[in-house]
Amino acid sequence: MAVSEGAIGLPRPQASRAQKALAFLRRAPHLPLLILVVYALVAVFGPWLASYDPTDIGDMNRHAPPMFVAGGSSAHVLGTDHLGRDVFSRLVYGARISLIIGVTATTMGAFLGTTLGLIAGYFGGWVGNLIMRVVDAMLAFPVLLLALVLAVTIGPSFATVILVLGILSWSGYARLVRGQVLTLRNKEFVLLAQIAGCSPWRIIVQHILPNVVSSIIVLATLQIPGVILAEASLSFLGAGIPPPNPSWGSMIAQGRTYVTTAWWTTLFPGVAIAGLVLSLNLLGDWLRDLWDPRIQGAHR
Amino acid sequence: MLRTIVFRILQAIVTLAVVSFVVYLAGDMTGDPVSNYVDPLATEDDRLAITKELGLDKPVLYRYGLFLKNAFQGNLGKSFKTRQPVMTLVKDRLGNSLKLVLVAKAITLAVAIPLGVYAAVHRGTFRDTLARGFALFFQSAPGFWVAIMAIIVFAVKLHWLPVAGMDSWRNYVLPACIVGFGTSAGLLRILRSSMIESLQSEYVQLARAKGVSERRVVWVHALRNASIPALTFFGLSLGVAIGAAVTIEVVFAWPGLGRLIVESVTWGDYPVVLVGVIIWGAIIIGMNLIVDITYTIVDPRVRI
Repeated sequence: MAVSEGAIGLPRPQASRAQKALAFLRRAPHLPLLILVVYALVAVFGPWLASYDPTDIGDMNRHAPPMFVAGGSSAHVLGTDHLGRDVFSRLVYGARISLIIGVTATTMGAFLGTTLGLIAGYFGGWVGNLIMRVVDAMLAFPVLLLALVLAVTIGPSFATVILVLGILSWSGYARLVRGQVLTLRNKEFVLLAQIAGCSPWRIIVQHILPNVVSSIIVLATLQIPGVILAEASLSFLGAGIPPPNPSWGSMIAQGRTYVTTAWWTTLFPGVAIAGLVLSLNLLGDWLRDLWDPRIQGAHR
Repeated sequence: MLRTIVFRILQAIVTLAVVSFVVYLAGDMTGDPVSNYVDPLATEDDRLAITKELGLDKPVLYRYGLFLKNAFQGNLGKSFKTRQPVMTLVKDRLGNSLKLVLVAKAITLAVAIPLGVYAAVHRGTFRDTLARGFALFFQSAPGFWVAIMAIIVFAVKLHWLPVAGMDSWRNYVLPACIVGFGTSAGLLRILRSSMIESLQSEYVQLARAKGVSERRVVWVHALRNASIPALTFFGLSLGVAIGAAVTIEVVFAWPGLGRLIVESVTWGDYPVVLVGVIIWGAIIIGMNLIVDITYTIVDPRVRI
């Protein structure tokens, strides 16, 4: 790749790449971006932030209220749950689970969907038709129900959730990429590459893929919040991350039983999910308006 | 045009067949249903008898074929758990879910249309941000969590609305609003952008030049054209509402199909799950088909 670039000999403004990225981020919506950075930092530095092990029941100090409520203490900033586990520490570790699942499942879906979309769009034929029929089937379906059935079938675990949500979220990319490849396939630069004797895979990867990457990134940004919400819903229904792992969804499910007396075990995980998903949605909407207004919302 | 319509119908049938087979296979791999329903002290002969009674001694493809054959004859099988016909279990539950989803979709329209128009008219201002922020918040906050919080505030603390069940119209308020608000963001966004486009168009400028009142220009001239893409999106977004209603049904103890499926999944009661998921799939696929065909008739440019 580097050789061909050198051969063409175009001047590349490499020095300004960092500046460009900075200028780009400066135009991004500030608050959502800031909130996302905070979430990411919390997820990365979780063990240093959390004062307790998220599964540690400690001295069985059950349902201790948050420190700013009467009867609360600074030992447990956001109180404790029904087993005496520190809510704040569980929230911090929950950020890791949500972000890892959101990013890995989305990456998996994007990779699968892009590959299949490139094949369907470039080669067409019966393979392309088959792929698009399956896409139609996937897009027509209440993903949460199918995810629930599959997750229970495979058996709830961290890997299961990633696998199920990844497999169920590829269809949007396939449709998007196929549509764009269909128009790109007849563009002059592709025809020239074909005349020059490039193999189909070289054309797809080197000539077509770079032109659809921005759309894929926009769609992925719009999908991550959907995946995070789906994980929370699965965990809430008992088919996601198995206990005692601190998934925000299962924290809400456990807190629900005691919500009239110990509201903090339910309120805070929900706020955590809403803040993360809202920021991602705002950022995704902004990216879409900037790069690709045609993409219609994330499919949940 | 007829060719297109026939093709779409065939395509919908194939889609449904694929979905039903995937769910059937998934169900077949779910552990061992027999163990859930037999006395742990049962003899091997008893277990074999139960296996036979549930029809689990045959290969999977054979059983799938048998399921299809029976389904076409109106027999959807029996629940592993209650041994009742699945049809009786599912029938009332489906009606209850549809009532909730339809009321929720009506609320989506009632929220998204005025807000979308409002946001388009005031685009770029604080009011635009506020209208979009409302819809985006309900899209971002998990519905089941909003539901729990709403129960605490409106049912437990204020005693305005009931906690659960579906005895009167008051039971609909919270669940339908939460599902409806939660799925209004997409519609609002599409309506807003198509309204912005049509407000800048020539026929709107002409209407203004003729001296048509601004209210009439916005709500009649501009909205009529802007609503076409929005209505397509609305028709296709049924699946999202059905998905959103599942956890809401669980929180409000709504006797709907979504909750029945969740309970049956945890029980390993596979015949019920299978039929429930296929019914939802059929409804969504049917709805998409209607939208597609309407589109083909209304707009002849749409061809495959």
